[in-house]
This record gives sequence, structure tokens and C-alpha cells, in this order.
Amino acid sequence: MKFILFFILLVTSIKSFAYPNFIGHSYTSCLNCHYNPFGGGPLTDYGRAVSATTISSKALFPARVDDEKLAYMSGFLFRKPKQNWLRTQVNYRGFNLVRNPGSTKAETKQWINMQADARLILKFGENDRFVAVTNFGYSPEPANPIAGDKQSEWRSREYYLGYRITPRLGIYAGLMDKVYGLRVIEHIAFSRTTPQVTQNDQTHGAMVHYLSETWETGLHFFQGNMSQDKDLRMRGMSGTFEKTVFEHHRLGFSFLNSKNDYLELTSLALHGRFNLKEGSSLLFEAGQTGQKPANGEEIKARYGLLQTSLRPTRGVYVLTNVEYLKRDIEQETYTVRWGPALQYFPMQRLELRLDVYNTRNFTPDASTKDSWMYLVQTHVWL
Amino acid sequence: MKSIILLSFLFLSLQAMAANKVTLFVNLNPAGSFQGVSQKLKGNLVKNGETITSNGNISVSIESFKTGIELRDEHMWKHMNSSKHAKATLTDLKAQNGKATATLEVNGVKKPVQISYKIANNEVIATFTVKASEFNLKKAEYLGVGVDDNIKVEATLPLK
Repeated sequence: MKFILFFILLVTSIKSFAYPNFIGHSYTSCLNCHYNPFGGGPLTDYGRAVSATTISSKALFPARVDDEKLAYMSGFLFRKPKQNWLRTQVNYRGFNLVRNPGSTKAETKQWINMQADARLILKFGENDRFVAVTNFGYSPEPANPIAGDKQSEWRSREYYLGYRITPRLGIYAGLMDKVYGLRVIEHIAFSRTTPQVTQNDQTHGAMVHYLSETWETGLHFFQGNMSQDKDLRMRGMSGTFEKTVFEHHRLGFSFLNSKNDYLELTSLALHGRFNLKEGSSLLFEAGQTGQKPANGEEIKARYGLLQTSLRPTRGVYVLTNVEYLKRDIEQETYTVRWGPALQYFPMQRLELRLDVYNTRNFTPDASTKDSWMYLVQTHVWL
Repeated sequence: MKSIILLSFLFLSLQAMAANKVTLFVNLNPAGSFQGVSQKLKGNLVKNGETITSNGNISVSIESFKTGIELRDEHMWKHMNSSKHAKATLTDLKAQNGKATATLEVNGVKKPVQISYKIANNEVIATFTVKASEFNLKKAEYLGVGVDDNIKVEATLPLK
């Protein structure tokens, strides 16, 4: 009971922010601001203008620079594009990760260049009906790579073709993120790592997206990442469905089934996105994932994510993440990770972020020390 | 401390009682929606048996609408030609048994509208749909995102 009270107090006192949280600005669908209808990757012209005029502070600009001018300047290299068919973007994200801060013996510091890529978008037709999106750049090797799965640090993590048959119906094919759950920006979130939909889990496949006035859905059929050895490629399908409720909010569910020569992974999740107005929002996702080795018993894991966001003023978001993971539902051991964060967009194209994480493992027979870490992140895009 | 709690309750109660309100439900193309909300709806509704009439015009200032994004507010006001036609006005209201007719003037153009309404807590909550193009409003579009022609309107006014 105390834990529940603490939990409620925590989530109602501080609120957090991630990119699906733009529902707090009344954007229920990702499609206005991203070429990928489920979010992530390059921003559309409209998305860049929203970023410049709504997400980012204008305090560093002189008063004569109004929002109309900021929107005008939101194109690549602060210029308004001279044609409609080509867009270029450059993106960098890096952070200083400090583990066990304050400990004379255990403190470690590490600068990680998370992402440095160039993006190219070709778009044609009415309402950008045809799009070709690609990126190429630096991405660090995963911290715990799969044995025998050595990938180059210089690679493309996304390239696809998209065609909107009608404004409501679109088909996409190429290397993309799997359609599943909430694409929160925190790639270490249990809701992303457990169902294997995090920053290095893109897959080749084809995706169908449909958007009605009150609901949105997507189905993704995939053959695994072709840069991996054939036996490692996770083949299967995933899907998500979201319904708008009470005009402002979204409730949804997702499923995923994929398999390679060694493992079958099945995952189900419920999620919600709630618009708390004035840019503030609340997200949750709760799911169960089963991992069945080719020669073994299935292990089922459960995870949960609660993210809240508070926007005290333009450009500033105060965040809290609360996460839960039970790696094996047959066992009593589970992990809780939580922490506040501060996200600051001092001007368009610049995001500064401080995340603090506290992790505790709960086991019935032993007590373990909490572990702490924080990261200071810089995100720049041109 | 008690006074702070009391003030908070009072503030929340006043918020809940905010009756003079108009909400425009705007759908976007290709996706999404937003609401334009004004808390400055002016007018007096009088109940006489089963019928409701307006004591004078019902009007709202275009520039009192807020959408949650400043630039979008400005675009909306400009699109609705607020510098020339500062108000939207409802006249000739005839209401009975949950159905009403009236004349709506937006952007200097008058059109008849069919309204549905209900009464709750001595407030009239009315809804109707308008086509923006019928009021000589151009198709709205900004950086590839457009606005649907059909706009749902919900208006709340206290009953005298």
C-alpha cells in the first residue's frame, strides 16, 4: 500500500516528457511531424516548424524575431527550402554518462556519441504522397552485442520508401523500426529493450498504416535486418492499434511475434497517451514478452512504463520515468527504475537534457544496494 | 495552509463553472486535430416554457480563441479575417425541445445553422457543424498540413 501511495505521489508530483508526449500539444498522430507515421526519424517541414515555435524557447532570440520568423528559419541551415522535393537534415546526439556518482571507488564517467547522421528525404506528389527516406552516419556498437553479430559503427539505421495511397492509407517498405508500443526516446527503457524494439532493432519489411478520424493502426511484416547473418534475423510481424478517447487522449494495444533459428519472441502490450494540456502529458505502457529458445522452455517477462511530463514554460519540460521489469514471471525478483529528468530546448535545433536514474532490484531473500546514474545529453540538429 | 486549500478549491470551482465557452473542433490533414477555445462567449439565453430565446445577439471575439500554440492562434485569427471581422455572431435563435435554428455570421458572411442542444445544470450546451468554405474562408494549409473544411462547434451559455 505504501508503495502504491509513493508511486501515485511520484507520478502526480513530477511529470516527464518524451517525443510521443507531443500529444500534450494536441498532436494525437505522429504523421504531421514525421515522415514515418509511427514517429522517429526525420521531421517534416511542419514538424520542424512546430519544434521551432512550440517546443523550443525563443528567449535567446531578440524580440523582433517572432514565431513566424522562427518557423521560416526552421529549415535546414536556417533557410526556407527553395524546392519541394528534397530535404536534408543533420543530427547529433551525445551524452556524458556517470554511473555511481559520488562513489570514490565505483564512479565511472563515459562520453558516448550516440548518434551522428545525415538524412536525406525525397518527396513528390500532392501532400508528399511519395517519400524516400534514408540516413547514414555513426552509431555506436550495442553495449551487449549478440555473439557473431558484428556491425559497423558507420551504417544506415533507416531507409524506406513510402506511398500514401490516400491521405488515410499508406504503405512503407525498407529498413524501419518495428511497429510496436510507444517509441519513447529513452532507448534503455524496459518497454523498448524487453520486446526488442530499441535503437538497434530496425528490420527490413513492409508496413501498412491506416488513419481514421478516431483511430489509427499499423501492421508490419518483416524479414529481419539483412545486415545480420541469416540465422540471427528475427522474422515475423507486429502491429499496433490506437483509439482516440475523450477527444484528446489515445489508448492502444500492440503485438509482436518474431523468430530466428534460436529464439521465438512474442510480445503484447497496452499503452495510453494522455494530453494534460499546455504541452504536458502522461504516457503508460504495460506489456508481457515471452522468449522461447529453440531448445528450451519459454520465459515470460512483464514490464511497465509510466512517464509524465510538465511544461512549466515554453522550452522546458520536467520529467519523471517510472519503470518496472520482472524478467521471469515465475520468479519473485523484479526491478524498479525511476528518476526525474529535465529537458531544455534553449533554441530551435538544440536540446539539452539531464536524466537521473535510480535502479533497485527486489529479491525475496536478499537486499541489494540501489544503483544511481545520470546522464547529461546534447542533441543538435541542423 | 487552510486558506491555501480553500483558495485552491474556490479556484477549481470557478474553473468548473466557466460556462461562457465556445470550442471549435478542428481536424487536420493528413492527421490529428486541435481545439480552439474561447471563454469569452457573450449572450443571454432566456427560457420561456419549452422554448429558449436569446436576449440580444450571441457573439464571440475571434481573437479570444486559443489553440494551445501561439503561432497557430495567430494563423487562425488571420485565417478568419479577424482584423476586418472581429466577431462571430449568432442571431435569430429559435430553440425548442433540443433543436434550434439560428443565423451565424463569420467573416462577414451570414448562413443559417441547425443546432442541437441540451440543458444541464442550468446551462445550455449547443453543438453544430459548419463548413468553413461557406463563410468565404480559404482552404487553410501550413507547411503541408491542412485543415478540414468541416468544423464542429460546441457552445455553452448559462440560462437566465
